[in-house]
Amino acid sequence: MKKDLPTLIFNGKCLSMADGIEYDWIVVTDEKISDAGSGDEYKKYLQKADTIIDAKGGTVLPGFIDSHFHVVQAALNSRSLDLSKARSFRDIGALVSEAAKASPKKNIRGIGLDAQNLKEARLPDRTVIDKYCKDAPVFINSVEYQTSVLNTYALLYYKIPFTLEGIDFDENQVPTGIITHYANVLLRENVLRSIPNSTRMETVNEFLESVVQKGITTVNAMEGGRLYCDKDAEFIYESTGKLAIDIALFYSTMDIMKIKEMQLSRIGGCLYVDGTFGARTSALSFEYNDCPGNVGGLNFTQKEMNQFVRECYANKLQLALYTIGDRAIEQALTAHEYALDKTGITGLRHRLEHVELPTLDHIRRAKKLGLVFSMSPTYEYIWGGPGKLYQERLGDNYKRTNPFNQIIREGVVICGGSDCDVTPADPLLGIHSAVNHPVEAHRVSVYEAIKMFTCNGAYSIFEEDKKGTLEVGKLADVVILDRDILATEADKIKDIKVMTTMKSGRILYNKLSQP
Amino acid sequence: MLSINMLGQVNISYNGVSIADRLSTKLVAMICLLVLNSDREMSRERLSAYLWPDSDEEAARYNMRYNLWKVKKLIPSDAKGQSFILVSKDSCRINQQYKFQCDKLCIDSYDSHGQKSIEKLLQLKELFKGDFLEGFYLKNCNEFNEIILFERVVCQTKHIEIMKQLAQLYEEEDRSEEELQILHEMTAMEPYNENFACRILSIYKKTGNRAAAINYYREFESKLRRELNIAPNNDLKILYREVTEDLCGKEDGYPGKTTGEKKKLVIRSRCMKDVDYFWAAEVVGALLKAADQKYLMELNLNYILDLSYIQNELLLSYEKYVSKEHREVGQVPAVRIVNAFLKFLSHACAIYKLDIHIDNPGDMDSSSAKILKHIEACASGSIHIYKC
Repeated sequence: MKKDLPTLIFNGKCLSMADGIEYDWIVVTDEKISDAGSGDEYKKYLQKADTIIDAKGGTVLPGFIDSHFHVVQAALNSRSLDLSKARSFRDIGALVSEAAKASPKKNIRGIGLDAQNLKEARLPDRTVIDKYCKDAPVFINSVEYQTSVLNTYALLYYKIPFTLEGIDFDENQVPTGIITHYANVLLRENVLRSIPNSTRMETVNEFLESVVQKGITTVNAMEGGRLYCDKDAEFIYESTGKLAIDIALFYSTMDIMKIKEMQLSRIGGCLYVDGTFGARTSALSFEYNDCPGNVGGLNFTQKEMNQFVRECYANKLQLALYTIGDRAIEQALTAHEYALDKTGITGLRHRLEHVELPTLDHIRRAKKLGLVFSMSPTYEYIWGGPGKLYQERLGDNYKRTNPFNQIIREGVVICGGSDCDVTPADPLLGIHSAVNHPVEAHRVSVYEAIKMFTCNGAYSIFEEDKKGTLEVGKLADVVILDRDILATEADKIKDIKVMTTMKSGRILYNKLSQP
Repeated sequence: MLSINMLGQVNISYNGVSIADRLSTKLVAMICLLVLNSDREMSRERLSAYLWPDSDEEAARYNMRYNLWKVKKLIPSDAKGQSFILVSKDSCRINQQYKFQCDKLCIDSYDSHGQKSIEKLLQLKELFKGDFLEGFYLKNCNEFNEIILFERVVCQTKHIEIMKQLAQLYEEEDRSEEELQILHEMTAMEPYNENFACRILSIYKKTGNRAAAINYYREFESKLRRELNIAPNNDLKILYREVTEDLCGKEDGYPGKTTGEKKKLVIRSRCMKDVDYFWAAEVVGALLKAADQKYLMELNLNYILDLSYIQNELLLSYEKYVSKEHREVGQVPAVRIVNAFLKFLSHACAIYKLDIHIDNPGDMDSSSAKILKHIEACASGSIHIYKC
């Protein structure tokens, strides 16, 4: 939407994120930043500006870029029944009953159920769920989507592939409603595919409103692939330009032909080289602290990985591989070294997603290869430090996770993401987490942490020429905070509020009054 | 004639005219229950428990009476004046003299061990219009709902069995196109079944449709990766390689594991008494020279690294075919060397028959001698040892 009159943002601490330059004010005309400066020079715009925003001394930053985000599933989950806090069958029942009462006869989709949290130490079967809801399908996903639990209605409502591996039967050979393995994969695919795109659009639009309130103007959408749904990726692809913020699609597929046909320049995102710490499936070079004998596992042979990475190089596709454990990182790096050696092609800014347990050797090799690390600092806030998940799973090796400072010192670019909805879509919490890493040696400065969610994010998707910094000529993706982030005590960063979010010159969210 | 279709959307028709819309859900359920138990009587009490579990005795009895009357009204007697349902004071049942057609009973009469014909199997296949009692659910009738679930499992299992037999008969009659069609339908039902995929690929290969074979394999591989994050099994990989190598005009492609005879390799080896694992290392080295190195390098990297402790040629091959970057090999415990050697041989035997000649067995080192003893004890048909 073109408009002739500019918007002035003044009285701010505008961190351009380019060469350490700061401004006091910026001017936005149409969709771009048209001027920026310090002192009273802004006054020349007071008369002609259409909109004037007083930042009230708060920090003004480039719009946040969240580099790892499951847009469609996070949006759908936001409308689902959260069972992560259920501690017993009775808790599940109460939540299901409430949902059934709120929307009678509507499908209920529950998420986040963890058998380990339940007093009964197992997942409920259909007879348990039937006690609380009999007249609508109830479809519950376990916390990592590996298992589904259905009530009898849902078992009869959805097309269930009973001949596939993963159907649990009772002593009478009747399905119990607990579905795992291949049957679960196919069931999820059927259920997710059955969601119409109109619902996706409505849900995503609604969800993005909350994302905008956190100052996010661009997300890297990790869509499709295992445990998700390719229809999500196709939806995002078709929705380009129709959503409130910019979405850079990372299609989690290994189908290079398809990516070429879609004329996408990147591939992957959630191509799982290994699993998760939570499920003890990330590939480690040592045994899990709480599961002796288990070192997790790789999902590819080295040869398979080499071939695929090489093909990505040959097709000049930017590749994003999901790697968590050190053995997975090793495999990915080996494959990149192989592909580089075979093709000689550089400059594609390939990414490793998560990279939670790299060694110094890994970091140095990644630097040589020009890889970008796409990391989620909020993991440390949730799982890092003594007594939390990282220590439970990794023992003393929890001190090695997410070594942001070391990575930056070695010259590897880190772009920050939330992995939403694994952690909340909240870049300020991400910045807080990187600055307050439980292991002091891994902490970074506030400025470096902001870079992860701004200019580094833009670099990681080849968009640094148009966003990621506050510079004249760049897109006016701007976020205004309620205070000066650089002067805020480290442990209070998470309390900072976003006051205004502007995307390409349009104010999408504003809590600041206009003079 | 009365026709009852329970697969897919339930339909009950008489002389081709549907009467389903005049039947309540409970009445349809009652008919289904009686048909499922058509070889025996069902007590009214039992039927009531299935269909009106929450009603008191009198209400249940009334419902039963009313519905039985309704059946009598809607389903006329046959030419001989026989009623569809025989009703007595305490029980009722389907009249076995009454002629009617029911898809479910046809399917139940199928005997997987009996004699089959393509025609008969095709007729049965046509009956599967959908799931058993599709769209059916009776609130609070737990036992009845369980019957639906149970029967859905039974029907899906029979469906796939019938398809398998049909594919088998087509194969026996060398009707590849029809076999292919059935296999594709089976794959739609069990999309991750690698045996089905293997058969499809074999047919494409046999019929010379290489482009289709390659496309099919890639699609299948991509599906496994996308949805399960696994690679196809070795059989499928080997078969695919055969297809692609044929395409490249190579004459020395992999001998098929799944089709035809395995290729025989003659391995000559020598022993050296005081050098640990010398004979085993000789075998590995000779195999590397005789077999397809690319294939051998498909062995898990950990085994290759362990085995390279005694035979450095392995690392050189690995570097040539897989990656120049690999981990350093430190001290490897004996048990891992032995295990890796056996895995290496077993991997080779998947596609080759090995005739291993030992020139001077009397000089064999003790570690190798133990391995040899183990191999001989296991007596694999793919390995023959000749001590010269």
